Amino acid sequence: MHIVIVEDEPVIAQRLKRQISQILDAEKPTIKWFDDIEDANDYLEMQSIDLLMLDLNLHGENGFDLLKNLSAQSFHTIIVSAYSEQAIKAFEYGVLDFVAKPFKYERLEAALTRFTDKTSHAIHELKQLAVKKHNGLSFIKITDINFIKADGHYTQLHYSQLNLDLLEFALHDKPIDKLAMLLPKQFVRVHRSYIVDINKVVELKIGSGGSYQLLIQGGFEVPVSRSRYQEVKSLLS
Amino acid sequence: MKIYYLLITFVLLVLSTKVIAQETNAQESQYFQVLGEGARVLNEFVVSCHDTNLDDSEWPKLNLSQISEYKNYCIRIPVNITQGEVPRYTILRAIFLGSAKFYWDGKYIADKGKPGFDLNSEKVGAMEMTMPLSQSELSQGQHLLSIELSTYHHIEDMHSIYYGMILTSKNIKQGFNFQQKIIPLMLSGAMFLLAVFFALIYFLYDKRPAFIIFSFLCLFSGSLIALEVIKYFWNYPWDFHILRLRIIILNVLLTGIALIAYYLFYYQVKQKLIWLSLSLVSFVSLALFAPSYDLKSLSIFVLALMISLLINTLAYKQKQPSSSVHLSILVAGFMLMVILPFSFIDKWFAALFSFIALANLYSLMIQLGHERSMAMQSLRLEAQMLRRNLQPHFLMNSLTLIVEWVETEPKLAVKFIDALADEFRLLNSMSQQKLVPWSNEKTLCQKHFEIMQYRYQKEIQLNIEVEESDFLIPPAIIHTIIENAFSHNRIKNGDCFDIQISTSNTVQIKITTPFRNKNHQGTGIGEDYIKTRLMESFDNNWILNSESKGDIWQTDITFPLIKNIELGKED
Repeated sequence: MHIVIVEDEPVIAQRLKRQISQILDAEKPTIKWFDDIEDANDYLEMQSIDLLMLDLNLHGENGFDLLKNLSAQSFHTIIVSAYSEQAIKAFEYGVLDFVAKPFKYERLEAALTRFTDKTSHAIHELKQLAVKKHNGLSFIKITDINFIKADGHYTQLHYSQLNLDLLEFALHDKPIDKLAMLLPKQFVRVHRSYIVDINKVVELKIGSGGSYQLLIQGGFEVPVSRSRYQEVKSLLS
Repeated sequence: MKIYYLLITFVLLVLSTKVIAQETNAQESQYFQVLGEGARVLNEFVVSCHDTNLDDSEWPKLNLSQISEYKNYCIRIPVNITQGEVPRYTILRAIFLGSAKFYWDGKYIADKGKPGFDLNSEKVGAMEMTMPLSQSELSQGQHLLSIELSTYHHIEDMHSIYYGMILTSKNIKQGFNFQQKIIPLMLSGAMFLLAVFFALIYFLYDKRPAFIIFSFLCLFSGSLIALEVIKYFWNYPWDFHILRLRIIILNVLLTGIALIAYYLFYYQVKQKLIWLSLSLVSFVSLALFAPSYDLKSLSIFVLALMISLLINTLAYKQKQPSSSVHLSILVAGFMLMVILPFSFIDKWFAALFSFIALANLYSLMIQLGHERSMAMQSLRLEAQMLRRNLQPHFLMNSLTLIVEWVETEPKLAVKFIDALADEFRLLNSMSQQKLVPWSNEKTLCQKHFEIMQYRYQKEIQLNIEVEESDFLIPPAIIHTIIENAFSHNRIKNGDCFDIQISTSNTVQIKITTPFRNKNHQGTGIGEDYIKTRLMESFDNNWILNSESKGDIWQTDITFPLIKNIELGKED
């Protein structure tokens, strides 16, 4: 497990490092510390990591810039900041948790548990997801998303805006496993490669050869894996 | 700008005094004849006084303006009416300080009190007597107006007690002269209102002497104008006239003193008592020794204006606020005195006083506004200073450090908390002051530097070179620069913060701090704070330069040297 800490005060960085090592002892994490956004950015461009612990004010620069600049954001982020009023904005960026300074060991542990426990959902209701488009960062409302499909290390977000039937899709940087952890409860993993908003399912179809499909608003059909059929069926009835 | 002030006020003054002073030319009569030509006078009452057939050619002639006090007269005035028919409502008007009985062609027509041989037998009548005469009484040809007149109820020698006697046709519409009566009445009403207003401000809002003095100034100038117009509304007994003139003089004197006192308190001039007692002495001597009442009030008024002008000029040289406005008004007033004829003195000087009062009102309002914004500004600066250590980035990170050290190195935690407490205490004590001794600022900077050393765990240096440490500086301005350097730059081992201060008649501070943040230009809120503080203490007498020079940021501050005399206050 590879963790990066971005924090400009060495004593706090040390504290984070020590406590993270303690909490994630079983995972044997390698932890790297940067006290500057530029250096961290350079590193993250080259290395793929699992978790970023990010401070928001680094020598007067905004920590969010780091999240904006990175072309691939396949890792989870936990913000550790003194500016607790920034929490809402942070969740819009799809961070896993927001730990306010000064922090207790138990609070950090809770945040890290959310990271290690793959079945947990984000503590904060995610309202929108950031996607990168040619003209910069744009946001898609969670309620607009009909279903999500894995696409290599990325995910396709299929959504319809303004309740139109017209379906659009955008690429999100996180792999489907990590994204699943951020989404609210109505998003159900129906297949290894699909997550569906259960409220937008029109019909459960049984196909030939014992295959199952969900008909989603807008006319798309999404496969349901056999192992998850019972669960999906009970959720729909 | 100041020239405009002067011009505008001057024009306004000329217009308003012109309006107020318009009197006689507005009164047109269809018939107007002055009586008194060829009057024959005896200094006693004789039975034959009113006899139309009496040959009075032996009687001495007298110019009626020479009628004097403590005498009785028999006066025979020949009246030659040349017009065939005088208008209806032609009246006889007589204004003088004396009691009299009037006869027309030997026939009794009117009383003005009751003339007598001495104080006891004389009864005082009204100041002015008006009596309509019929058209037949005023037929074309020679007539005789004979008067028994006595002047015993005088309390002092007035020199001039006869004001005139006329035959005039009275137009009822013209009787009510708008400009003559309404404008002074309005002015005095406004003055009384201002007096009440400023008395209320003094008692309920701010007990500053200038307010209550201004209230009195308004009261006195209001009553002065009222005393001038009273004659249009009340035909008072003629022996009250002298009392009225005395009250007016007293009023002029009080107004003059109030005006001077107001300026003394307004500009907070030293030795107010000397100024006031000197003015009072000269006013009283003018009131006592000037030959006539008109001259008395004029001279007191001129002197009051001159003293006020002097005070204002001194204030203007010291660049006191609003002094230019007051100076313009007073100068305009002075020029008016030169331009306008002396005879208008009792009209326009009241108007000028109203203008001075209004100018004072204006500058008081400006001052109130200024003080309010100053108070708001210092509250804002104070809050800004105190908030500095409550900023989340500073406070929460410091607390995180404390949490860490309490768990790992409790002794270091204690030291750090100590340094934080010191800085906060210093900030708190300095935040309410406009200037603090350099030693306090220095300690504050050192404390902050110490805290940042703890936080960043770096080998960094703060060098302070000072020629002379005995001067005052606005609180936390250098602290702001150091704080900014830390919060906007990545600090590295070996970084140096240098403060060099040289003093002559100014204090010149040069501060260099590390500069690595190429994205961030200027110091934003920090620079705003420094500028506002400098402005608060030194107006525009300061220089602030702040720019990057390669990888250092250099800030130069220059402001006037103020020595810290209260050495006892130094820590």
